[in-house]
Amino acid sequence: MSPFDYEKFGKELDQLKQQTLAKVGSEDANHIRRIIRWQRYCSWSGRLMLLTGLIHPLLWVVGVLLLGTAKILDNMEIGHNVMHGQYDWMNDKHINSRSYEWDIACDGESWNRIHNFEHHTYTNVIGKDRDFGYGLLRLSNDFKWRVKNLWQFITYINLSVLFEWGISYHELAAERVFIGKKKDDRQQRVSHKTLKRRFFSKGARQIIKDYILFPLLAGPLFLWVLVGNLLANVIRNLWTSTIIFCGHFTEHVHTFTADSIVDETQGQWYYRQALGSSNIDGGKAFHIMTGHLSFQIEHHLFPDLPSSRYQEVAPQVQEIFKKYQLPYHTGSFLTQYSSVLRRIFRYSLPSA
Amino acid sequence: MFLNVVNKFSERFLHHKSLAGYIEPIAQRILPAWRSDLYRAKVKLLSSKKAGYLNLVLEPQKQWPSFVAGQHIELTVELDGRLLTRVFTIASSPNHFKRHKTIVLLIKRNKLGRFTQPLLSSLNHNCWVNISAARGGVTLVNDNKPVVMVAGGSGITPIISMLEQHLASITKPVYLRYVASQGAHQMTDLLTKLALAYPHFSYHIMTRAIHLQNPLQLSLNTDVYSCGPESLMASVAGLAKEAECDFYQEHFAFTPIISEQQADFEVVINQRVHIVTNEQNLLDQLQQAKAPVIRGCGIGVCHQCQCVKAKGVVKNLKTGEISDSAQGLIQLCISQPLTDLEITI
Repeated sequence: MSPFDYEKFGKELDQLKQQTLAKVGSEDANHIRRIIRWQRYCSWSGRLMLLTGLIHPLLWVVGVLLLGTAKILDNMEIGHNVMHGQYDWMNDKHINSRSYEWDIACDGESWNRIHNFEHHTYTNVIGKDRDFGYGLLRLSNDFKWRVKNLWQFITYINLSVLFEWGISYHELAAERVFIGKKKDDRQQRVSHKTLKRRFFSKGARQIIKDYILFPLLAGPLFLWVLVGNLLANVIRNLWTSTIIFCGHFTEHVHTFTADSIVDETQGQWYYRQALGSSNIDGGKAFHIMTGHLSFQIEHHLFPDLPSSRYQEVAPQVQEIFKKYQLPYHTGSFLTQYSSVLRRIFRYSLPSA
Repeated sequence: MFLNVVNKFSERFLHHKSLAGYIEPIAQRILPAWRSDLYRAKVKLLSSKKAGYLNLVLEPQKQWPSFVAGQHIELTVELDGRLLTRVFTIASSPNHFKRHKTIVLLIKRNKLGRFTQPLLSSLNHNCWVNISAARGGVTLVNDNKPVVMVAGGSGITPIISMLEQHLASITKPVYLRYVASQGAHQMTDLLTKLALAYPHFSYHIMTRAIHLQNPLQLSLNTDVYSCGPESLMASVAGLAKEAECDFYQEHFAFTPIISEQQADFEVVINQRVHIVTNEQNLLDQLQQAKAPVIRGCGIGVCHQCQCVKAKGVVKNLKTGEISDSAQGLIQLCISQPLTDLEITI
């Protein structure tokens, strides 16, 4: 069998990216502005409908769902993608990776460092990509089995329900700000003081907004609004966590060692991204609700390509993978999610 | 006060520095091209003129404050989804604006220009663009002295504005020398009209070669104004100094000359100058020079090193694309300097 031609593989993907970038323009700008408008409509109609619970509880349920949808759109299709710099070419100061802040407990700047840099540069490299298991779950044999892994399914459920707080605390955990011994090879990018200040400041603002300010503004409907906001946040947390897990922790997703990426070429980097992610099949609305992370493979190959183009490049990526006999992991939501659950259970036990 | 409270609320809880920014995409459905920090202007006329120039007539929204003859504006246009901004001096007078509610821009089309080239095909009659408030520029000092003006190429625009505005109130002689390539002189009809209306105004249009063969004769106690290429303004400034005249000038940005031969360039970051070579990417060199840059992936993926290039030209090492010289976002790790640069971090 001939050795894998990383250079040629990389060039083909580079070419595909350049061809697609050349087409990026008003269609993509219109897409993200349309999503932002829908996010605003859902958010404010949802918040208003939370006040109609006394008329009929079903109206309140619709309000919760609308607000949950607004938060999902804000975090996934808008926040995640804008912060990746996918729409920086628009030169629109409100849709720019340097200034965008999202409706979630996690501070945007922290996310840029831990996700855009660490996760996307060192995808699935054990010890360098903390997203692989989030320091809580054992998802491969690269990690030593511990007794706590026996109940890691419960840990996973807790993480999913509180997902926004998990990712908010992610960088602080990596930097061992409150507990633990700092890793020798970890380069500190921001002071602990700044990390703590931004963690508490962003978290407090989210708590004040959803659990104090808006409920207070609702007067006698305080509880309806408070519970509605809480549920909308939980819906968003469960959805985002599930989509992210489906994109990264299905059974076939590979892991890599730190040694394997020394002097890594662009082609090798693409190869690692290809094996480190998986897709979810679905319709247009589903893809938008996932922030197009249902095209996790394409996203990892081209993180700064506008999300509105992932669907278009996916068949061509698949074709290139086929040519190089690389697996292209995709499947229905149920298939991918059950695969994630199997992986969580499998590595709960020693020597899986 | 109320606006401050609203914007504070927006910043804290809606994650936008102003409420206007938060609602911008919705407001644009009703008011096309509405932007929280810019004025709107309606395109009333866009026509081609000789020598690759465009004549753009804009009707600014009512709230746009007027301007002083000789001032410039930033024109922002959305071209294929991208908001591009360029600076142009207004080529009409405040009096004209008062009468017609319009301003005129004379735009020189650059062959490789990302902004000026697609303008004609992208802007339609009555479509909307954005403009800033008028600012800066050279303005006429009415101190009752004779006036000599020297304009080069598109540097005629502030001169036209000042002549149209002030000729009626000046009694001393006003002379204009307008230097441009053969057949590239603009607004000559208007100059003729002004010369007929105001006997104390005269002008000559000429090429650069003829201008060099016939140096200006300046006498003491004359106000000298110049706008055009640096070399032209420098020579006029020299003459003005020799004749002990007051000299006023307007700087125009011209497309820099790009060469890929080994060269060193100056990079200004937050008012500090660093010297870089074009043989390495900017990030490595600026990091070595201990400039306040952020290192991320180093391969153009994570956008951590992204910053605003205020001036200058860079080459994207991944795509080979060469930027224009205007403001834009660059990733330092995949940018090769091709000219002097000004960067904001």
